[in-house]
Amino acid sequence: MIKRALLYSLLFVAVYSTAITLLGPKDQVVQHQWQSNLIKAQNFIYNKEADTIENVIIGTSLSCRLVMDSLKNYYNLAFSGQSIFDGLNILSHRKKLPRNVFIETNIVFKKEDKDFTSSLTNPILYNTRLYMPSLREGKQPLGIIGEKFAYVVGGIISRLKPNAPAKDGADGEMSSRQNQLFSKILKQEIENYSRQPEQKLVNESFACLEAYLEPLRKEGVHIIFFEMPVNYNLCSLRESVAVRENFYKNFPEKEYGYISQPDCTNYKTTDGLHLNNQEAITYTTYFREAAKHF
Amino acid sequence: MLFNSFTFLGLCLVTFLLYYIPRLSRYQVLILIISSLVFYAYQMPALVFLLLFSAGLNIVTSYYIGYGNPKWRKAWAITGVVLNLLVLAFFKYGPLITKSFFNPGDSAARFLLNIPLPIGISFFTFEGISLLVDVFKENYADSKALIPASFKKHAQRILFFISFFPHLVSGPILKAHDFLPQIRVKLFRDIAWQEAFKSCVTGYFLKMVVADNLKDFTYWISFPHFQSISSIKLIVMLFGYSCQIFADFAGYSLIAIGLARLFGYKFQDNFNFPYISTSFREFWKRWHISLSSFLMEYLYFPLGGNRKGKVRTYINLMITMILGGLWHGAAWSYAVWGAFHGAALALERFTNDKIKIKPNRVLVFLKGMFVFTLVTLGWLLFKLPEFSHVLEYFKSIAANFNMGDDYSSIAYIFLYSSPVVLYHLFYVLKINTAFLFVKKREYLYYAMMIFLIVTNSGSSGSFIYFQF
Repeated sequence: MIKRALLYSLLFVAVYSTAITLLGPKDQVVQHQWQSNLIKAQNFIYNKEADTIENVIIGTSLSCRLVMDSLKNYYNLAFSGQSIFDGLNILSHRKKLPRNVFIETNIVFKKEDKDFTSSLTNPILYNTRLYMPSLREGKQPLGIIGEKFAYVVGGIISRLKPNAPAKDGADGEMSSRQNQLFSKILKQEIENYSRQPEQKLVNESFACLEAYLEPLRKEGVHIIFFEMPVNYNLCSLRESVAVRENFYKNFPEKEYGYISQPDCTNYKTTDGLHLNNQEAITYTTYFREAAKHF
Repeated sequence: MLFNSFTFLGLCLVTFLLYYIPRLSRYQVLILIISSLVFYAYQMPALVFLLLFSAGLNIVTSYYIGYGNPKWRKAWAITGVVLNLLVLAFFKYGPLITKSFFNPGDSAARFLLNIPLPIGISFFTFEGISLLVDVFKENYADSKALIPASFKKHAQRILFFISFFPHLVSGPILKAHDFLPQIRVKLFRDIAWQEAFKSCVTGYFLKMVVADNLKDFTYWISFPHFQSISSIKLIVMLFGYSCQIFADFAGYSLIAIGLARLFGYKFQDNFNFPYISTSFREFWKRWHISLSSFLMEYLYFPLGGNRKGKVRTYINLMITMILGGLWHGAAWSYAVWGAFHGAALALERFTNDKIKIKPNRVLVFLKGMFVFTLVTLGWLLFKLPEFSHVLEYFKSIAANFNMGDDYSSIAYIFLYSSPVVLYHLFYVLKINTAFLFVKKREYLYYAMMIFLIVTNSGSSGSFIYFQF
């Protein structure tokens, strides 16, 4: 029984790997946010095209809203729910570095997720995925099945709830319940941002950032910082101001590039921090124009 | 160290090779002790001292129960059990007691709040208590049969019993009378390969494919994220979490059972298809069997069980379940969860006494659905330790009906939960002749599970029961 099971499992893996290689080498299925981060990172690590990328964006979920279709020759290495240090860690493992690295400055106190980066850089996992693309995150067989199954589920739910939207997109229109939640979340964010960050945390975070940036600069990479627009109530609160000041102090404008935060009153967010789809397009245009100067 | 890490696989392989070298056969127990201590020390080496202290405490007290002055047997047993409970209370419940009854600003309170929770302490403490009670009560075997006269040999056996790595951090909770008689030289030719293989493959599949994938979808059952999620998805996520927690813990237990089989030891089954239960009593005979049987043998029966009248039975049930709930974690929500199950058990007993209905298929099915639904709602207290957040979750289910649904996530939750449903369904259908067809081709199912472990594992996450 054991021998048979092992032989058949090998056969399944071989057939699946061949099918992936022959039928859909480019197709990828994203099942959830964390996997989307992994897929983004693996594409950056394994795809040869990444060597030709001149500009890399490092950030958090705020920068994930940037509309990449209009940013040619850019790679967005921003991860939802994670920190800028995860992107920097991945970048630090690359032999061929980009010309410019754009780093989001909004959230700097979140620590690196060591499990995330080690799952990408572990030599055994790295090499097996390098030679067997079928083992990469975006190629999971149940992911492919689930994608089809979602149509069935969608059909059933839409019959049960004929008037409901398919998904609450970040399109700017909000129901009264969402408005109520928005006010609640914003109030909480205002409270969070009103606190002065602890000096120890500030020192640790900026020291860590410097440790990542120094080798990049030595390799001639141009570092540009940018601050994503957020709800205007948060822009001038203690934490925002303290972070901004520390960036200018630790990374002076003479040596580093800056794309300053645009006037936040012009931007709408879904939860105080993340731009809705329409505003993301507006900001991407602003970002693209500002980035041309570097 | 996680069972699904490369480090663990390396450690396991080296231990296995050394263990079955014929020349080293007399050192088998020692090899497993060393390997277990390395396994435990991997993340926080200092905590090994606590493990050694706990083992030492049980070694000394159990030895004196067996070989000390007969007059002092009871005193030794009580001292041992109390010390075990004090160690558990200090490390596990110190922060909860401090938060609940003291000013968190005090330096003593700050010290207590910062005590790290030693991984697996709830498991090895209970195993120590089982040893002391078994040796003292001699219900299963004469104390001399469990404890050799040589103190050195006894110390080695008990350290092995407490620290054997497959069960060390998340069970199953071993009972001394089950495990100690199994300690002897093991031979390579006696390995139950098929059982070990089936347990390990099913366990790794449940953990790495089912639980680790579901966890990324059920993550959103956290405050405040769930507030902006549609009612349907909130309900589906709860169902998914119910499947996840089963897959996570049953998966871990199966891996532990399979690994122990590789080293020639047999652990008791820890899960017996719990979600087919049609009563809470049955559920607790099928879920985390090693804990529920421990609580029954070492707490419910000594309290009087059902021998002291109906009211005392209900009280005993509540006490057992509340303490069982608190065993899971140092938060009052776990006590509430235990009380919820205690109340369900008491109420079920009461209604069974009062109302007699002839069971039929429809009723059995409805009872099964009812038990599963309540058990699933109860898991919310595991995911949301603050009771106000649990209430907020139910409010969101009521209020968010018109929000848009994320079809994709709902589909994936159903997809990744389906192995748990099938797993239970196979068990229900095993008396059916069609099952024989499936049984004959079981190698294909194991092959499919291995294939999915290789190609479709979720991101590695700690086992939920590690926190207990």
